[in-house]
Amino acid sequence: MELNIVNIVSLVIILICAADIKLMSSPKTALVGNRIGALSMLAAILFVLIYNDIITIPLLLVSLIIGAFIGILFTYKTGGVKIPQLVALFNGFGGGASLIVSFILLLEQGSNIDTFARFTAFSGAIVGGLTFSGSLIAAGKLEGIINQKPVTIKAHSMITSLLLIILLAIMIFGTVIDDYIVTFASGATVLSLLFGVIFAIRIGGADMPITISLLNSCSGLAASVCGFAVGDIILISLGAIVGASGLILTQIMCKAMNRSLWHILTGSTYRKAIDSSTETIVEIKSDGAKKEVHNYLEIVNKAKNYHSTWLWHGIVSSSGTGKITF
Amino acid sequence: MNNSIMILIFIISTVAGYKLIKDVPSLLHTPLMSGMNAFSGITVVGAILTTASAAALHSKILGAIAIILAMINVVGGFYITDRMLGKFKSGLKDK
Repeated sequence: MELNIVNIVSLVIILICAADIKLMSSPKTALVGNRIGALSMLAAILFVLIYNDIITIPLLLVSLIIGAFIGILFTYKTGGVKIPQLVALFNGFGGGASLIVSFILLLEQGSNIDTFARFTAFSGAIVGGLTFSGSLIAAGKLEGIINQKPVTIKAHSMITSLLLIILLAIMIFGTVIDDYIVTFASGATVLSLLFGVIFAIRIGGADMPITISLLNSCSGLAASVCGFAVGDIILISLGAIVGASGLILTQIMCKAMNRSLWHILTGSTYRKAIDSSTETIVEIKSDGAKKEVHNYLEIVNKAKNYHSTWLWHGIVSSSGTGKITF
Repeated sequence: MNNSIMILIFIISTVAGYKLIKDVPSLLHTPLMSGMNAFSGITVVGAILTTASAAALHSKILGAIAIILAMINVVGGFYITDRMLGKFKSGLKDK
């Protein structure tokens, strides 16, 4: 890679953003980290506008200002109770943007860009699409517009797998075949949106924080894949960082809430009970099968991790008093 | 830009992302998630680049929508994280 000014500035911005995520994972520095993050993001946007010499295009500036204004308005108007929904909604918007970017690329220069860029554009459309619709469903469930209980349709797992296979096929054929790119792109968009809905409706309302974290990881991945398609290293790198660390955070949250990701994704509900004969805690599934999970000591040691569940509900319940105590 | 360099950047960033957060206190799970959600709005850069180079009118309109959506994600995301962290600032000081 050439050591020109563009790449150096990009690398500096990426490093600052990575350091921010590190800062945000510690209680003392979280607030500062978030603010520096916002500033470095502003720097990234300005930098892209300036070095491409497109800062004078009115459409871009107007859109940026409208978006920023709506973002502030949404957050300002929303009370503490609705914060989780809002995070889900914002996440969906990010995914939607990645979907649109990939779609435009395929529409405008589908047959001109190389195979690799076309492959990444298709991937971006698919990951972005499922992030968009999945996040909207998550937000709807938290808001109570959609039934909070896991909704399962007939042959749910089979439909999910089938959709995945078709999406993969579209991605491969769309990349290889030069014609019908618009058809393939539209198909990928519609089916990935459908996939997001089907994936999210079978997840229960209580598992939504973990789902949103997973979808957040997806929207990072979508951004990164978009970066490949447009050839921008800030986008590739930052998207990948969010994608990977989002996945880790999802796992950490699963552990803290004592849920397995697989159970959440398949919408399976199980109850926990104490088996007095063996003095252990067991999972009892719907078919009556028992499985030992922990002994008491482990539970006590893990108890402090349960804060996470409380925090989520803490934000909700504290909005009346404006105070959270831990 | 060279494809192999882009793939290399992707791999390095993914590894970095994996190593980045390890011991997050559960208190910070939600704000951290919200903050990273704001970072994922970086796709606004992609939206800007595509819209700027788009020729057809419908592409430009779609591009403008993408910029608006991504910008809501970025600005709203950082703002909401700020509010969240500010809300239990007193709780953090006790730690």
